[in-house]
Amino acid sequence: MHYKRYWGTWVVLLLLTMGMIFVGGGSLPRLILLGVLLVAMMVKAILIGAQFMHLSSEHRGIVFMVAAGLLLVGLALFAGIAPDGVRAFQLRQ
Amino acid sequence: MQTRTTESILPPSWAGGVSPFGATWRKLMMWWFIITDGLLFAGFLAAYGFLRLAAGSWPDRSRMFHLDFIALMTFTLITSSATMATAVGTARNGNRKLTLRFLLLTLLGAVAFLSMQAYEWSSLIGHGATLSHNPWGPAAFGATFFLITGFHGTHVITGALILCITAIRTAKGITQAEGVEMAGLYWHFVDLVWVFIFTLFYLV
Repeated sequence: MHYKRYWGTWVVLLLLTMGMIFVGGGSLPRLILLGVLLVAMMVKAILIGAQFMHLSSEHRGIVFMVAAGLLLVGLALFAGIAPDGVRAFQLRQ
Repeated sequence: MQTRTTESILPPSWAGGVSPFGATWRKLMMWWFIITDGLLFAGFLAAYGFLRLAAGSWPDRSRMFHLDFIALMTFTLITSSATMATAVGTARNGNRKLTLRFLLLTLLGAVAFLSMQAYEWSSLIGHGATLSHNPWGPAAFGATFFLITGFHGTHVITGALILCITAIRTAKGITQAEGVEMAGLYWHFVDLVWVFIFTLFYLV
């Protein structure tokens, strides 16, 4: 069956997690650190969705439904909240 | 063990009376539940982001968390996700004994994670952190931390219950492979949410 696929994904997820912890404890500039962590986070999320949840084998309609539902709303939340958050942060400074 | 593969599903079509997504009703509804529950967490995390920015300063995570302990929690959850995926695979193969074994391993991971989460909570509460108070800085930290990790922990508890029921039904030989797959989808969703919480709360 696909056991190699699952345990191979497990290894990659663990390596990514260790990498994120290592980078998080380092002295990268804040924005670069944020970018690296967010990219690694999304890669892990996609791996779990594609390999563990079998989205890579599902009908395209389900994949689009999941991606559009989560991504679009995520973007909408970000667009609606982030500017106010940044403004509030700047007011505090 | 009864098995039912997706080959028995009617081909995708929008002509009515068939499945447009090539999936069973159960699987489609589980995905809809996952999407809506994911949106709930997205809202919580967005609120956390806003509160963190608006607070101006935020407690130094190295003072509050033992990152190696949190890493162990993450390792436990990721491994339980892998054992759950294997259980789904063995269920599709019709191997009841192996499915039960991997379901129980997943359940063990769930209990271990919950124990570690409880220990972390007790440690923070012992230092005086509550929903409305935070000894290290802004009160919003306590509110967001306990709300989000508590909400996730509730999902883990529910997942553990689902795993228990699925394991009992597998032991009795009355579950279908799709039932194990549905439990698997829920469990992987719980792991997926932790990926976001781990990054945004403990690393950023």
